[in-house]
Amino acid sequence: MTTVSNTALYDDCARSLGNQGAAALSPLRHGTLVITGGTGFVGLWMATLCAFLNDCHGFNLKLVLTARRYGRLVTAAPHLVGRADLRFVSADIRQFIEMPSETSWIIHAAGTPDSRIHLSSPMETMAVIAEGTYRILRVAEQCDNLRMMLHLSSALVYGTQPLDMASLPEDFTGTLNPAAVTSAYAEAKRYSEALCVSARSQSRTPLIITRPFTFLGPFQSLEAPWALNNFLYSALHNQPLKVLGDGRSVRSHFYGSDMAFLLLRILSGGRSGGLYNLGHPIGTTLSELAELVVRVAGVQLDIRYNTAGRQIAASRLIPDMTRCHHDFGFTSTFTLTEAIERTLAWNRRRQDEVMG
Amino acid sequence: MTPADTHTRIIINDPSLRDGNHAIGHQLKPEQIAAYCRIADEAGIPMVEVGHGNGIGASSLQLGLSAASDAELLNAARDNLKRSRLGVHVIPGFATIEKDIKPALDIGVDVFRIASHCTEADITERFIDYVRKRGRTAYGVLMMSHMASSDVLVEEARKMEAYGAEMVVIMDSAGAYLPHEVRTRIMALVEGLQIPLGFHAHNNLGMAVANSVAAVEAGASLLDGCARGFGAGAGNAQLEVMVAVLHKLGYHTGIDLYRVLDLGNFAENNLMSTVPTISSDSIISGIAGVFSGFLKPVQRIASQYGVDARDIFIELGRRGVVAGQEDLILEVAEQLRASGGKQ
Repeated sequence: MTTVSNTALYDDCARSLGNQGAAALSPLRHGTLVITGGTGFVGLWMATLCAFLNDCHGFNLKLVLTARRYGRLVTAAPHLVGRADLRFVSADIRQFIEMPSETSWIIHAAGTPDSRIHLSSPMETMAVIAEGTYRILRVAEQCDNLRMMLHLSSALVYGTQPLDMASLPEDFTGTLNPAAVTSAYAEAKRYSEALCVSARSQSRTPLIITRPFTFLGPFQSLEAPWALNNFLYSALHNQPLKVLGDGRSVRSHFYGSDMAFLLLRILSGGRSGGLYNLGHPIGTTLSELAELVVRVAGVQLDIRYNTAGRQIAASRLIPDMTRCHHDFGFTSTFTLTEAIERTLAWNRRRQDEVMG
Repeated sequence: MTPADTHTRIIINDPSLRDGNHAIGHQLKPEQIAAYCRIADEAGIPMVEVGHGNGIGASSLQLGLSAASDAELLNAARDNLKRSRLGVHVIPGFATIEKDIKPALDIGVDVFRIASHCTEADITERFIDYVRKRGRTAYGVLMMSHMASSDVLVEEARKMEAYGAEMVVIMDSAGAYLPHEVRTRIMALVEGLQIPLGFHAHNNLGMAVANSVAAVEAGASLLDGCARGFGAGAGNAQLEVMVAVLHKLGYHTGIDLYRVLDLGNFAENNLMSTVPTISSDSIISGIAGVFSGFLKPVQRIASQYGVDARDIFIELGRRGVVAGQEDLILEVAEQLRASGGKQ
């Protein structure tokens, strides 16, 4: 059921399957997958990959997306609307009461990573994560056929990455300051991890935790307050690119379809109790990133640095992906340049659709 | 390392044509603005802020009607600023995106300083985001900052940073700070933020320039200064003095000292009827921590009701009033009269 609107997305999915192919995900066949936060970046990519697996590889996987607003699915991912293999459940995760009895897989991805909301509404942010995770774990206990639940935590549970550490391994216990309001989201995610570990101990819920880093790709709002999103927005609107600080901070970006494949790979092939970073292991400075966006976009735009008149310590947020590579043989398939090209192209198509 | 060794560049913003409007009942005319902007531009003032005293969209019976529309004032400035950037003060609620921000974008305003009371940064999110998405510069401004602790200021400023503000300016709207209080707050903000910081002083306690110097020594990158101190209440940090002092300390402003001195002369002779002074009421306003823009309405209402303006300021300070609550002046004056001058 490939349509014009999902062709590029399906191409990405096919490429992310890579050498492992759809066979690597075969445990998912004929199952039912529930995804909370179903209209976010992760949820929409998961749903798109599952739709691809059904359409192109006959997986017969049933999909249940939960989120607060159906409208977001319609506007962000019209290719998923009206599919017989997808059901949307409108719910606040904190009031979620029942899973489909046939649920075999759960991905808990509810909770916004938007730092503006974390700072404006820290209590609400914490409540959604803490109460939502508790609720979903309680409901998961009732699923007799549950084979695995995957909980999305956050790379921010590590706190600030020490500058002398090239990348963050999963056993790094972190530098988070619980007494800072800026820690609300990260502390709630830490709590959610402890809650998951407790549920596994108390109820024997089969459960894996992942810690997402920084992503890139279709479905990600360019309004989001992250450097690359701002650069892409500026490039699409012929505005100067504004870099916070002197551009020495380092981030890595994991393309959406690679992220979706790896998540399904961990879900279907991982062992309960596993803990995995989820991101791209190769970092880029913000300065290099801005230059790359300008080059890929093919536009002549200024890059402006917003220094504070003083030397700001450059920050770094890079995952150590050794464990994922070892356990699942996974390596990312999209280069940063390709990821930016695809993201720009998707957003341009979206702009054209909106403009009619 | 002393400041003289660093040769740090300090950005100067000149809000004479906005804050000064408070001092003359918002009666600045387009021709005055045009003439002032020509000299400010020649002097190399990096940024000139224009508009009603309470920012664009604020002209009203309650806050005072402007002599000309925002569009007329901003166009007069835009036509005469070649090198200097044009800025506006924006208080969400007084200003709206449709009615005020969009026209200002069309006129060519470069910098939008989106302001809130020091504990209410949340209200700036939409405005900051809107301005940034249209490729212009957005600063966050925390007014009446003496009413919040350093910790609270850092939390609020971080919100503005997260919303996309490219700088946060803290305002001593009541002229209530002493230099060590400015230093403490700016140092906390420097520690807590990645974006640059600015400081806007008022002179109620005679500390405006000293407080501004304390701010840059603590790490601020931008200072507000008004020609002859033309601003609300006792006036602002006097631009010409501030530039001279900064140069003497070894800071760079990019401003031609002689031309900024000319600008001060021009402002005294062409913009104001009287040069701002630290009146007795201004001192009380600073001590009470009441917004400098309350000076004229408090004096007027005190005279009408036959009560002591100083008592009104002390009571307003006790109530923690902020800009926009000018109607409380009447209430306080009535109560003072009814109680024979005692609250």
